[in-house]
Amino acid sequence: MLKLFIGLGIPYIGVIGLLPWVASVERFVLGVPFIYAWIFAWFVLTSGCMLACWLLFDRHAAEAAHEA
Amino acid sequence: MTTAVFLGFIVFSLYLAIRSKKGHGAQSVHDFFVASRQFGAYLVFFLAAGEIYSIGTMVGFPGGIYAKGPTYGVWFLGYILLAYPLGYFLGPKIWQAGARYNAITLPDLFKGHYGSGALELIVAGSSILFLLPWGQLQFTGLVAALKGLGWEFDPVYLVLISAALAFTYIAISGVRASAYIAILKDILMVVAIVATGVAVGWKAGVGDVFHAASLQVSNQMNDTQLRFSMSTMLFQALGFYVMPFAVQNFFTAKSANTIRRTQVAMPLYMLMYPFLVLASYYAISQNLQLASPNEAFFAAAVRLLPDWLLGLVTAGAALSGLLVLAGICLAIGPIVTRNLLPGMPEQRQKQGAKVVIVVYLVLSIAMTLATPNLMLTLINTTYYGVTQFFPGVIVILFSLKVRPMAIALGILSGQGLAIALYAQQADFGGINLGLVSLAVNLLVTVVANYAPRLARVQPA
Repeated sequence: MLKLFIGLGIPYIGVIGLLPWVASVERFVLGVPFIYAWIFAWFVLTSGCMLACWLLFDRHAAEAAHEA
Repeated sequence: MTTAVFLGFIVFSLYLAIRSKKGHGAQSVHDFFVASRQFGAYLVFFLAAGEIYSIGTMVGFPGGIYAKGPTYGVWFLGYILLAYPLGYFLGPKIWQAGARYNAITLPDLFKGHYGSGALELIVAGSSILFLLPWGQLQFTGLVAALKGLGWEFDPVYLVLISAALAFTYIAISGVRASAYIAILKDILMVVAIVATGVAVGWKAGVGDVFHAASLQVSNQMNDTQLRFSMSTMLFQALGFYVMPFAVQNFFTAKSANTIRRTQVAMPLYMLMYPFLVLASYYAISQNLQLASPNEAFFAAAVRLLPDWLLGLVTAGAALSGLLVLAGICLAIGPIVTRNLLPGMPEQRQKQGAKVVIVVYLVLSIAMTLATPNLMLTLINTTYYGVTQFFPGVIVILFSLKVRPMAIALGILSGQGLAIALYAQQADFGGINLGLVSLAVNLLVTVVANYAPRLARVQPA
């Protein structure tokens, strides 16, 4: 369950769930409109969420299956 | 100079296709279409990236931003991004299901799990139908890209040459050729986009471009745009990995973990998009007058890049269109020969598939020339139909017991409704009409699955 929340829940909340707020912010981050800066940041964050799933859960499962 | 560099890369791609065949001798059907499940994480990554970031990325996405305002591009980035976490969890299961039923195509999975010929036919037939706009998307992009090169040819010739090239790639060695060319294409595409973005940043300044463009177009969204973006991201993320060619890509992987590792890396490839957004905003900020919004990216490239680099950019764009065409063809060919014409012996499937591929190419060419469309609209159209497979695929992946007729009725009503709503230009306050159809699809599936049982219980 925790794995699903990290890997699936967090990115969906960040990108879809918070969009109404993100689209209402009127400022620039390093010259880039906030809405684009936000979604660009999630490219890295989403990858990070999946990496966490891999390191915390699936890698061990894979190794266990390999040894068995 | 531009043309010479461009042609050089095309010739090199043909050489790669021939190279890919070496050492594999005569190819079986499984090797031709899914590489006998031998690809490791790198090849799966390059092949997936190669087929996901189609010419829609370089031509359609900037065109959409240019034509409909900057916020229109947000859903495009969001749905691709959100498809990867879903792929992380579902991809390994798709791979396992593929191994379980020794599948080559998406309809093979339906045949294996449900054991229903009718359902297999429905999935096979509608896969092909809804992939036609996807082919049209590539051809439209190819014409825009080659025009950007300054070739004053009739679009008919450009389209015919493109089709011939895509066919040549796969005729040489099927998915192996695709994977090798994908490596070249993935690199060229990133270099092309980053080079153009950097040129914009250098000559016009990042902050200046965004500010200048923001005076003309809003960076905020109204409620309708918000509803459209949010529902489209969700709906298309669900559809992303039930695309017939995406499913087939998973089948080429060596193991389930190969897929997990590819998915972790996939979003990082998207870091090319900031450069692309910058180039599109440049087209807006400079008030460039374009013959078609689809030329937005090339308008920036042509103005800012030296000749030889422009040749590279065009080669990257053209290869991305060609590779995706090849990928669709590799999906559609076996769907027809294995699922629509099931009596065909395996040795003849490869030959038959090639005939089908030519027919498909001709049909999408005809559509391209007959009905010009904004490219991002074509993407929406394909997803309206393809995402309707999602409930049925989930049932397969989790080995649930659902009656095949219920799934078939759900798919048919979802797709039928989507087509009807699209034709009528129905409006749900911005909500993606495919998502509405998907809800109806689910409802029909549930009712059709339980209704017979309830009917039997009631008289007692």
